Amino acid sequence: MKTITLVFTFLISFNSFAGTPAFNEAMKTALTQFGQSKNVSDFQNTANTFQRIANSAQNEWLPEYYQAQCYILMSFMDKDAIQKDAYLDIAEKAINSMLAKAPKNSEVYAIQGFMYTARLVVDPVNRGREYSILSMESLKKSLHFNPQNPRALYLQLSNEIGTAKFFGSDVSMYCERINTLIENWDDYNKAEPLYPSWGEKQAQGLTENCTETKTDSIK
Amino acid sequence: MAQTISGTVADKDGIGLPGANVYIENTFSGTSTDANGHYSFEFDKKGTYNLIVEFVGFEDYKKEIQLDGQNHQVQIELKEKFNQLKAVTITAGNYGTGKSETAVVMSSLEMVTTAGSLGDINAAMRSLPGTSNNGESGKLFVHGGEGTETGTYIDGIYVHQPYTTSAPNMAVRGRFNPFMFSGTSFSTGGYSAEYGQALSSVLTLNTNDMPVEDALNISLMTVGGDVAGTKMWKKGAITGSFNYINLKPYMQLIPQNYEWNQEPEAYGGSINFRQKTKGSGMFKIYASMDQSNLSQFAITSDGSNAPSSTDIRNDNKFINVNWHGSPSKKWFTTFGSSFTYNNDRYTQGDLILNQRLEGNHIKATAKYELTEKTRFRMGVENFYTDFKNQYSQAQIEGDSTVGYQENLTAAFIEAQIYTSPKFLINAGLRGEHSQYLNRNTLAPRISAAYKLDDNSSLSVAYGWFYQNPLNEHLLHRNYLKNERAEHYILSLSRNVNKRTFRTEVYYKNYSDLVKYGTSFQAPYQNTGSGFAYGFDLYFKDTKTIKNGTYWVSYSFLQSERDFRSYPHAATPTFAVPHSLTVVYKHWIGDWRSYVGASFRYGSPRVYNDKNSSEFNAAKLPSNASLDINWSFLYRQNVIFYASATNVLGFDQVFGYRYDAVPNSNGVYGRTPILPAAKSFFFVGCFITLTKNGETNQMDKINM
Repeated sequence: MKTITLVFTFLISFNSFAGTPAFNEAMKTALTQFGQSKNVSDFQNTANTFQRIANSAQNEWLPEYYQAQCYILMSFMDKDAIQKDAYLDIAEKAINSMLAKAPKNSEVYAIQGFMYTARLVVDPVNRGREYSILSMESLKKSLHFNPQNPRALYLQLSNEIGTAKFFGSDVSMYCERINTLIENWDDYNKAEPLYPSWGEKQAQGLTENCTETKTDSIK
Repeated sequence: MAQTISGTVADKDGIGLPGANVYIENTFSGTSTDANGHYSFEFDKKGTYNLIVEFVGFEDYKKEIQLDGQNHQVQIELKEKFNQLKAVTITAGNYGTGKSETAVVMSSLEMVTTAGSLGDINAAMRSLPGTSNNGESGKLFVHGGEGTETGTYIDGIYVHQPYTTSAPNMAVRGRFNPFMFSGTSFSTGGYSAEYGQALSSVLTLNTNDMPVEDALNISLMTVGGDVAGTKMWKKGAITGSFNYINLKPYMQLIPQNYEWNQEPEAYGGSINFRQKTKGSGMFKIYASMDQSNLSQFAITSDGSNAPSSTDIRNDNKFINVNWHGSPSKKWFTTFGSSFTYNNDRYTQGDLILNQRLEGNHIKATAKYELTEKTRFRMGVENFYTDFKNQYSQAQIEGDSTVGYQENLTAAFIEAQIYTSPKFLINAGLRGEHSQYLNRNTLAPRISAAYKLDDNSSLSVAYGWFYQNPLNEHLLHRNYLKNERAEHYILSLSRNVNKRTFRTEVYYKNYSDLVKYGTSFQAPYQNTGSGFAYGFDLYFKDTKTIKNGTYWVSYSFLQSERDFRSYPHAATPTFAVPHSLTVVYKHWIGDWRSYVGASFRYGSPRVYNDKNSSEFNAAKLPSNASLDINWSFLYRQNVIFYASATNVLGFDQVFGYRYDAVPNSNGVYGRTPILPAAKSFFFVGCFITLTKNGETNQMDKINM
């Protein structure tokens, strides 16, 4: 009986933080820190903060979402392939943990798609096919749960434009779609506090040189 | 009032680690370490708590601390996580490929885009050091060993007949498509105790696990075509393929060195089944059936065609069944078996020679991981061979059949121990019993690697290797012994910034080789011996030239043997003293094209001039070839591929065949052994149809 009580209090103490003003406050501070992060060490510190929030609010998926996003961004910044994968291992672990608690969340699948793209970037020659398919599958799932998730739409268009440019096909259709996406961004974007809201700037970046015909190298 | 918890997080050398996450378990209280590894944070509760430290690449740290309101200082040393990817690997004798290995040399895509390889695994492997080009054979000749001394294993299972059948003295090809495999490793010697029946080298091919989607692949080529379809379900997939090759139209268009009664024609099919089993297990079946026919006129020493053609018909059936799984966290087991039926029928005039080989290999292995640094591997296996030579002549009634049956049983055990991420030792022992020869052998193998710095490592390998004599030697001669080789290898490897440098020095000692005796009672004896020594250099650079990759392989070889019909020790005819290969590939984005060229050079080999009193003293001309290829991604799912070998038209002679009897002047006439044609041209179109049309057969190129 004693053990059970102990476990019970433990569980309460785990989650007592979740959804409280203190949690919201911690998340807000961490998101400010996120907004100011520029390099690997900034993002490492931000990821640590989100991880600590995640540890003390274990039924929340948002801290893990941002933790995963930090590690994905770090993987793009680091040069060492083994280190990149080490970062993505942590991101993947956080994503799997999120999937267990929020199995129908469109945002979770969107970040999973992003993580697979990051895996691909580590070694495009050997991972190209496997991970481009995995990424597209995750984004499809994301859009299944929310057909207007602007981040999933952005990531999907970004993949499609990359492929079309590579094969020298016409990209104007995709460019129009990205413009439509930006026009509707505010409608599509869930205005809930603390929710992921990134992507508009990246989507704008995509429009800027959208019609430029540029072929990427395989490296 | 809150108390302050502070200190430093450092590695074992006392260097501060920035960015480590330090916190009190199950709370939000904590911080990240600063640029010097210092941390400091406030915590307002009293009592017993766990202090946790986490950092990428290091083991988690946990310490119980008593908090009584006083400030607390905790100095923390983190232990580096053992990461096999960062740990040293044994490079001696080992050219690993595939994505799981760190010493990546060649992927399946790289194989097919290597000019001159023409989609043949063995030809692609010949662009790596330690090998030589023996144009009359097509097999893998490694470190002074013959092609027959290289064993081929698919998923650990022996392949009795890895090569196609070709006209006498014409290059054979590997039977398997490079895209079947995710990892290919080729050893130049000193390999694991797991592998037997190979004196010089093993080519280990690991088949792909699950395909990624349903697809229909269609290939149209100047020499034929094939169709392959893949259907997937939740935990499994099946691929079926059919191919037809006919060189007649091509050979009638391009001048050939030999006249054909029937140009090579082949057809075949295969089925590849994969099913995931419990845990991380996987069950695979690969089965294939092939038939080929050809009929060629040999050229006689006066330059005219032989009176009758040599007709060759090959029938081959192969099945490989394989399961691997992990019954518990620490155990990994494999079980597999292969069966080969191969029949070669040679007809010349009214003479018929039928060679039939039936082979089976069955093997079970287990790997036990004691700790992440200590592993054991063990296994048992049986090789069954039934070989028959049937010879018949129209005028003589009946036929003469000789054959033998062999059951070779073997067991091996091997330990792999990392004493630190910098030092690895691998020691194994292999025992074999041959039923036919009634002999036992015991072969120790040992290799070790030491990491000199972050980018360089030094490794050594030593071992004994046994192989049964060739089928034709074993017929009716069960008094023979296994042939034996001993390898000594020292290798230095350096990997910096996408540039790889490797050098390998080796010495090989052959003994108990079959030698033709003079007495009628014992025409074959194990009195032969030999040696080979040399060094290899390899440099690969994927960095210096944007969108370009090149590598250079050079091998130096000195070798002598006293075996078979040799009157005394002499340099064997297959030994190439200097071999050089330069491969270059370039991606041209604007053309969506991958172009490549490779140059291969082999210095003069010896041959035996029957008109000279000195044995194996005459020299062939040197051998060179410049090969080019071009892959063009027309659409996402359509690739055009073109290649040409020996575009500069170098003369190639692989040896001479001497007449059995001298002519009226007392001179033996001779015929040069030539390739089928000076150059080979190939054009193909590869189409992949999938549901969403996003992939192609050169899958990995499209990023």
